[in-house]
Amino acid sequence: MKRHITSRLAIVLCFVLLMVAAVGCGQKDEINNSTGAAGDPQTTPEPENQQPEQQKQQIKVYYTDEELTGLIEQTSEIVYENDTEKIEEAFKALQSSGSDGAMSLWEKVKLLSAKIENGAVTLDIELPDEARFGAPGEALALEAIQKTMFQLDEVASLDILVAGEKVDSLMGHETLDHPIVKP
Amino acid sequence: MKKFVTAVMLLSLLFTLIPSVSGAAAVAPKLYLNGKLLNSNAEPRYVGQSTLVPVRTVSEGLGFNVDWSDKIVNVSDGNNAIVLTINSKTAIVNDREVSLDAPAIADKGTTLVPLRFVSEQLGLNVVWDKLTQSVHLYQQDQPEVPTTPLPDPGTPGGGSDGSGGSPTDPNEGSGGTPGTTPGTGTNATLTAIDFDGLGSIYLSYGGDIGSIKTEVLHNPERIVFDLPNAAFAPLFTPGFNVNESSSLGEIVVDTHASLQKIRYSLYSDKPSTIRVVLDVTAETPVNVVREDGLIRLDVLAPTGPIVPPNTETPPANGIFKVVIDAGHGGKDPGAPAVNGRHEKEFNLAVALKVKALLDKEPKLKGYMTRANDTFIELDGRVKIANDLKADLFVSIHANRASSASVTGTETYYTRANSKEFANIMHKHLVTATGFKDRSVRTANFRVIKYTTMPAVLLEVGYLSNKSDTAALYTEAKQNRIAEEIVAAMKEYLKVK
Repeated sequence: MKRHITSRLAIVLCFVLLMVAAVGCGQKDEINNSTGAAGDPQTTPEPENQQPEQQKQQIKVYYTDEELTGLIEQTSEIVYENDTEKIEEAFKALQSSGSDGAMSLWEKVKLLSAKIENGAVTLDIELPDEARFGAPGEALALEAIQKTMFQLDEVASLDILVAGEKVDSLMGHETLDHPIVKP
Repeated sequence: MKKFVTAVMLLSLLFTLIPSVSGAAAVAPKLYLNGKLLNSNAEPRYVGQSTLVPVRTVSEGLGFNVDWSDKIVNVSDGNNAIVLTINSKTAIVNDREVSLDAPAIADKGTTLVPLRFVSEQLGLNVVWDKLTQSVHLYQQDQPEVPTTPLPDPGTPGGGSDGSGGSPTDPNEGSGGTPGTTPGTGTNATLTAIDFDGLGSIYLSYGGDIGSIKTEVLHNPERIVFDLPNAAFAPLFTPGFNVNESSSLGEIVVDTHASLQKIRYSLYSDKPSTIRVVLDVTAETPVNVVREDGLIRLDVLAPTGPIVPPNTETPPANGIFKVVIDAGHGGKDPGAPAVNGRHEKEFNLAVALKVKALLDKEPKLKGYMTRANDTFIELDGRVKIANDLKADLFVSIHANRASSASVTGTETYYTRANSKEFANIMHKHLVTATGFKDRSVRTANFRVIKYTTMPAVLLEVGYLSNKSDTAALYTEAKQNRIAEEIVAAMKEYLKVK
């Protein structure tokens, strides 16, 4: 009986190791935080004792200028523990102001929820008055979020819902596909 | 076979490229059915000139019955049945052999079939939009009611084909009483006329067609092809969108330097003759290439000076239909203005003023997409204009930026046939507003993209700017804007 449990545990451990290896493969770009669990050789291999690893990635974030002439690309570092957080952090980066006067196109949008399932990202947002632009601003905002999200290897499609609803257009000029598929 | 191997090699090259591409060229075309995007897990793709789609898209997206085994794909809609064999350029449609541009293929466990062929054989209209790399499929179950039942294919139904002179020409038009029933001496049936969006027109047929009579006619400039002893197949695509009962149809082209329209008709029934007319803007050479079951007309670049399209010819009753689209409305307030009001109010106020002015114009009839504070989806607005077969479409909006300092007037268009109208409109609009001229621009806004007539979207001024806003909400400025919008329509349509 005891023997049985041990072998079972071994199998589970193998699995866990495999998973960790697989996850590692998918995230080549990411640098492990040196203060994390990886630095502690005493860590027991049981899953519940493992600290979720904090990861960092440099991503490109897209803004515009004051005159809405086009997109401005800047780099930002995001820190996250899992894929959902990664999406949330990328969205937050999109909402922050850029440097040298670069303006966010998503600053006033409220993120209600974000999730990612098999590469399909769903963002549920609220669009208050002050988040709405004219036609050219909407076009840039959509381009900015697509470029920001689709650079992430984990993301295959993006569905933007407004208060849970699949609206035909975000701000009344451009088509909003459900989902937008990564080109 | 060699072609297929090349195609596969190209495809594998594409696949190796995809992971490294981000935000670069889209490789798969988008599919729309009756204006709605079809979502599919497996992507459609190009093979040569053809778009191939996974069979699952055909069954789930288009609602056809599909079953497939090792080498054979059966597609049907209950009335018609198509049998495709993997890698074979011959298909069987209702027990009849038909040749294909591209065969069905099997790739990594996914079976892909040629979209245009399958759709058209089953009665869908297929429109390829090169600009956006998308394929539009339209169900043709509702018979088209022609607005002006003209038996002569030489008379344009009020499009922008640039024919200014008298369309009656002894060499054109319907001889006798053409109908869908094939006349005497029919040796061939024409199954489809396709335009590839670039410069080639494909006439697919079964049977034998003898030598094709070609004729170049001037004023207006056009090229005429007569196919002797030929009749339209019962399943002929794209069908007869001008006049069903006398077999008149046309394909409007706006992607070619010279070709404006492809018109076709059963020109004579004794002996049965199909006439295909290419409306061009300048002298344009056309190569006729004959293949088995296929005639390809390659329309080359024009050699003569381009005669600018003479804008619109007056419609049959002399009255132009103009659609005024007040942007946003209802649950969609549009942009907020610095004075606390909303864009939807401004748009509607100006649109109503334009409508009132149009009501005084004997040669213009105004239609509104909304005349009160209601919400209409973008496709609903497009449909109103397209169903009316309107001559012009004007969408009225006001702009907003994050920065309060941005000011000015912008005019947008998407399609080539709208450029001239956009230029004229912008000139008038800037005069009316007196704001900074932020120029005519192009963008893919839905209402100006999917309407078919010349269409513009106006961003009259910035509601995020104090002085633009102050002016835009005055009665006097709104009246000026409405006046100049109507003046621009009249200038473009050459209405006094």
